[in-house]
Amino acid sequence: MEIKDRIIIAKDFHEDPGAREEKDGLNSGEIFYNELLLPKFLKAVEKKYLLLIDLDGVFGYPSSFVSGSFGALSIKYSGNQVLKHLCFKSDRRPIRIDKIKYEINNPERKDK
Amino acid sequence: MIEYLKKHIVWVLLVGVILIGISFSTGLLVKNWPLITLDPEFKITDLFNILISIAIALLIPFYIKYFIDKGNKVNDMVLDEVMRYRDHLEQTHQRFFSIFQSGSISDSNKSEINVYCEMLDSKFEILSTILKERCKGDAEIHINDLKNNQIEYWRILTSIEINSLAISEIHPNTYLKEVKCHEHLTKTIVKINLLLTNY
Repeated sequence: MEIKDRIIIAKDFHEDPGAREEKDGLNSGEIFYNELLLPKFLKAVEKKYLLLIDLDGVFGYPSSFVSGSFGALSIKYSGNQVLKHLCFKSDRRPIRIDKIKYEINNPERKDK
Repeated sequence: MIEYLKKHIVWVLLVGVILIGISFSTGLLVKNWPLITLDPEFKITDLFNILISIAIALLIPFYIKYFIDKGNKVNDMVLDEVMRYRDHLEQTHQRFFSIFQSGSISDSNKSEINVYCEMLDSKFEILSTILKERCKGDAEIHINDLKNNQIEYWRILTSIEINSLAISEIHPNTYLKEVKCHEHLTKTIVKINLLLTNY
């Protein structure tokens, strides 16, 4: 599959990602999920292409943010489906890609 | 160079005369030395063979020492990086403990923990790169172990159990999870140190 769309988190969302849900704090994973990730992911699934997520330019990703966005997407659409349509880029910290893939494969449930 | 020779012409001539004198005396000495008899079948190539053998005999121990020293220096460098990683992990662990012990966690504490995790990631990137260079495939299993434990550590330290407006203190269960994960990370570091003793 070809990459036809991208999300640069630092530019398109925020340089300081925050908590899991909106009620937990600013720049939450939930807002990112609803406003950017989910609509672009659904479009990528429908048009059968890859959505590139650029993780650079952000100081750090709290696991709460990753859980509220990528984890939530994985719970709703399964890890396989998510990884089929998402690819990641982080030149500065490749471990970030592993962290997000880990969350997609082992999503933390909300009730936890 | 020519200027130098012009300036010190007397010394240059004197050194030249001394060298010719030494060469002449050495020739006479060798010719008349009762213990040294030259074989008329002796070829110049034999002389080269002897000189090359002597050079090899002298250079082999020198090179062995050079490579051992070089290997030790590289190992010291890798061990330094392991130490830096361990020290940062300990700082994170101590800081988390002090916040837990204080009985309250502020927003700035939460950001601080996030910074500690990010710095640990940075240390991991450096350590994994030089371990792969030094130990090649042998390090793979330990790097993966370290990465998985570190991801688990990050999940505990920046999860919703910490990073939420509703959280004002660290729950003992969260602290226990941190202690357990810190222990796994420490064990992995010990294994990496043991691996490096083989190099």
